[in-house]
Order: sequence, then structure tokens, then C-alpha cells
Amino acid sequence: MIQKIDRALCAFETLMVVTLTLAGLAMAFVQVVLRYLFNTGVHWLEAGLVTALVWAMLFGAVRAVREGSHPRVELLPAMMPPKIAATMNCAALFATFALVVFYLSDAVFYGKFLNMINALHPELEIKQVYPFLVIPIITALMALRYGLLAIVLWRTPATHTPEFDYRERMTKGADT
Amino acid sequence: MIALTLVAAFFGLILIGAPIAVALGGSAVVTSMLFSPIADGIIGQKLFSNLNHFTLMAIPFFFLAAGLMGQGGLVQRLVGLARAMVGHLKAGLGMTTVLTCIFFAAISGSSPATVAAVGNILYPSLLKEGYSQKYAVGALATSGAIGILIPRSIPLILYGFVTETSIPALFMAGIFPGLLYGVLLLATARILASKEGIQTQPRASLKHLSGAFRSALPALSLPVFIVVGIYGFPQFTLFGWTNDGGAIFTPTEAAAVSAVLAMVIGFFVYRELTLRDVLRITAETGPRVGMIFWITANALLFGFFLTKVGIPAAMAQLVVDWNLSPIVFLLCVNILLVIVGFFLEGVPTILIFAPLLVPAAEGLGIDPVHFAIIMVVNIELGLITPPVGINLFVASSISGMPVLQVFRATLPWTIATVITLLIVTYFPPLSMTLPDLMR
Repeated sequence: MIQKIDRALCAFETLMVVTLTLAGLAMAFVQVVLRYLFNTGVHWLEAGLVTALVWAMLFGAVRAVREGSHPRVELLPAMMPPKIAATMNCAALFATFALVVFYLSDAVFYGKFLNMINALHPELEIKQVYPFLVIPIITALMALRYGLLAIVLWRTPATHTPEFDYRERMTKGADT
Repeated sequence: MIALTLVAAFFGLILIGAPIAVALGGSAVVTSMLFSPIADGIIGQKLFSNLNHFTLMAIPFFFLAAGLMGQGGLVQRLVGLARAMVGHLKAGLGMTTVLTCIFFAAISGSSPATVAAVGNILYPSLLKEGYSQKYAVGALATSGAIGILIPRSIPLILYGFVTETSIPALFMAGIFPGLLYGVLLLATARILASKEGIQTQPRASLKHLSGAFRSALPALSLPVFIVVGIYGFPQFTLFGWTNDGGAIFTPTEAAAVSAVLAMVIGFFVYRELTLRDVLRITAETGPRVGMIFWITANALLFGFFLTKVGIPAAMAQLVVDWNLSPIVFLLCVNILLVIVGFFLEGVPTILIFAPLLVPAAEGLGIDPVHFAIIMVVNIELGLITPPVGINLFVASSISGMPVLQVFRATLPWTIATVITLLIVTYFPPLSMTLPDLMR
């Protein structure tokens, strides 16, 4: 089950990262060509490319949870006996999960506020809440990823960093 | 008390092994909840607005361009050219390694990417020509560090973003220190090779040299194109037509154009890039840059809280009150950053310490552009010192040597980095001559 969710998340994240990054690149290139070759421009292109890339890279940040590429200082846990290291990993995971859930609730609050006041994006001319939606979406996905990680670690207690174990379990299918 | 709680929460989270982004965001959130509450919704809004900047978008485009060029057959051409240029000298291949790293640094902007790309090709060749494993990994890990000093540099973009310093000026400031570092590394390569008794190779013919240059020209044109695009041509008049001079495009636009050019060169010039490669490289860019964006969002939240409670201003005042001379201040900064470099990578180092230290440096009359280069050379030192020196890990994975042995192998090369750091710190014209010409 966990592997199925993981695969579905991976496919979704890859799709978003690739589509939005290439869309952002295309918009940036069109902007340069229009401005410097034809001395004209489209007013929403810059805001459009920034929004597309912020969305793409934040989906990349969710993917980085799975790949264990969010940097951390592992010196102290690595020096500890396995049980203490596992306890420290659990505490780090809990703190991370709690922070992501806090961000999610705060972002939902702000999103509701933006929606209520019906503010329009000055360049994109769409409701300002739409570009902002990336924050609640990616924090929800991060919470899901860290939740899955917690389940995996509960089943097979860690001796390494949480993401390392997670990646290993997903590859080897130890949770099935 | 607020500062103490903030520092305790930050280091507490770091020590238990929480991600650095979480330590930054978590300590700011906890401290603000306890002492200086922020209205609901502000943190959510800040997370988005911290990233919603055009300047920051240069980073994904530069990463994408580097990935595309790495895949598109660029590195082999650069190695070919460097070898044709210096391969016949004593320590020719060692010097080729350094020179290729300088060329590739101008394209990739990332040190680990430089070590990985150049190392995978040159490490086996170095061993085949009789260089010791120790020499080969030392040359790669240390020369790769040049990637963040020579423009375009990801840490310099982040520094410019968080301290509101001109990114073109920062790029300019990195050129001479980067070249000095390169020359010192070339000298180290020669001195160390003389102890290994390496045979010299025959000199490349003029035909071979021009062929290697022609082959590498599309790859070499990319950094030239970026530099000319960002800084523009000087003002001139030709046959009655006047060019006003000035920049042609912004660093972000230059990054986007370089990614498109990298695709064009890979598809149509070298013909080594496929659509599948483009999709794979784009997908790989996401997590790499996403990690940087997530730390940036949290670091700026941390910085917002620091500013709200007045910590950077208090630090600047403290430095003024202590009557520190700029020389002593910079010595203290170097010691601090060398220690920090043992534990933190370059991106978090810039994002955490630049907003804290720059106001104090400015208070002592140190130019933020000069200060940026000092920070980046310190980060270069951090890249080759354990336990988190990322270049050591990349060189270790290429060579199969344990990280500690790779570190020992880099020690003689580190002398070049330390000399560069001292010259950059205490001889500001090295960094400031080119930015001053721009002003």
C-alpha cells in the first residue's frame, strides 16, 4: 500500500516538475525574444514564469523528502549508539512533521483570507489565491511523505537517517 | 532571552539531525510563539512571498543548463581542449584537470557538479598516466571547489538575493579571485606531480590544438554569451551608429537563454542530447533546486524574525561598540566561517550568516561585494573539509576511497585555498577592481 502511494506521489511530482519547469523556461525565452528582438512584451509573462517555477521547484522540494536530499547535520546521531540515534531520528522526524503541519494550517488560513477578500493578481489577472495554493498543496504532500516515512520507520526501526531508510525500504519493498 | 531561545532551538534541532530548513523555520516559529507572536496567516504568506522573486529564478535555469551541457558532450570537449593546451607540460594531465574545472565552473556554477562531471572522465585517465590515487582525488576535490567562485555562481546569486547586492557586481568580483585560485592550483598540480615522477606527453600540434578549440567553441561560447549578456558592450560608435552600452539582459534571463542554448548545442551541434535526456534532466533539477528553495523560504522566515526582534542591528552595534578594526573583524569572520564550514553546506551558510554579518561588515566600511567573495572562499574551504565537505563525498564515490583518505589527499591542495582566502580577505582590490569599473 505504502509503495503504491509512493509511486503515485512520485509520478505526480515528476509530472508537475517537468511540465512547469519547461513552461517557465519557454515563457522566459519568449520574454527575452519579444523584448530584445521585437521591442515589445506580454505583461503577464514574467509573473507567469516566476509562478510556474516556484510551483515546479516546491514540488521538487517534496520529492527531495523522498530522496533524502534536504541537508542535515548528521554528526551527533552518527556518533551515538543505535538506540539513541533512532530516538534522535524520531525526534527530528516529529519536529519536521509538526512544523510542516503548522505551515499547512497557517497557509490554509491565509488562503481562505485571500479567497474571502477576492484579491486579484496584478499581472496574471487571476485570483491571488491561485498562485498561493502551492504552499498548502506542497505542505500537505510533505506531511504525507513524512507520515509515510514515520510508518515505515515504525515497522523497521532506524539506525540511519530517516530518508535513507525510507529510500531503502521503497527500493527493496520491505514494507510489503 | 529571545536570542538565547532562538539559538538554543536552532542548535537543538540541528544537533538531533533535523533538516537545516526545519531548524531555521522551526526555531523562528517556536521563538515567535513564545515571545513575539506573529498574526495567523503571516507565516504561510511569507513562505510564498519569500520565493516569489524573479532574481531567484536564475537558479533553476542555471542548474538546468549545467545538466543539459553535462549530458550533451560538453565535458569531453573541454577536457580535449585543456589537454591540448597544457597536456605537454610537466604535470600536464594534473593541470588539465584544474583547467577543465575552471572551464566547467563557468558553465555549471556548482562545485559538486564540477567534481562529478570532470572527475568521471579524468580520474581514470589520471591513474592510467601514472598519477597516484591520492594526487587524482586531491586535484579533483579541490579544483572542483572553484565552481562557486567563478561566475556564474549559485551562492553568489543567493547572497545577492538575501542582502540586496547587485548580482552582476558579485559575478564580476569573483573573476580575479577565481583566476588567482586557478593559478595557485596549477602551481600546486605541478609541484606535487614533480614528486610523483610523471612522464611528460608530446606537445599537441597546432592543427590538433585548433581542432580541439573548434570542437570546444560552442561550449566555451556559453559563458562568454552569459557574461556579455549580463554586462553588455561598452558604449561605442561605429559608422555613425551609437551603441549606448549597458546590460543586454538580467542574470535570470541570461540563465534562461543559456538553458535554451545548451539544448540547441546538445541537440544540433554535438548531437548527443535526446528528448528523453531533457525530460530526465528537468526532473532531476526539481529536487536539487527544490531543496535550495525550501531552505531559502525558511531562512528568510528566520531572517524576518531576526529583523523583527532587531538581532542583526544589535550585532552591528556590538561590533561597533567593541571597536574592532576591519582586519580583526575579518579575521574573526574567517575563523567563524571555517568552523561553520565543518558542519554546514554552502547554501545554508550564505542564507544564515550573510543577513547577520553583512550589516556589521558594512558598519566597519567593508563593501558587501568584497565580503561576499570572502564568504564564498570560506565556503570553498568548507567543501573540502569533513564531516560535511560535499566535494570529499563526490570524490570518494568516484574513486572508491574512504572520505577520510580523500580528505588527507586534499590537504596539500588546501594550502592554495588558504592562500587565496588570505589574499582575498586582506587585499580588497583583487575582488573590487572589476565591480568598481562597472560603477
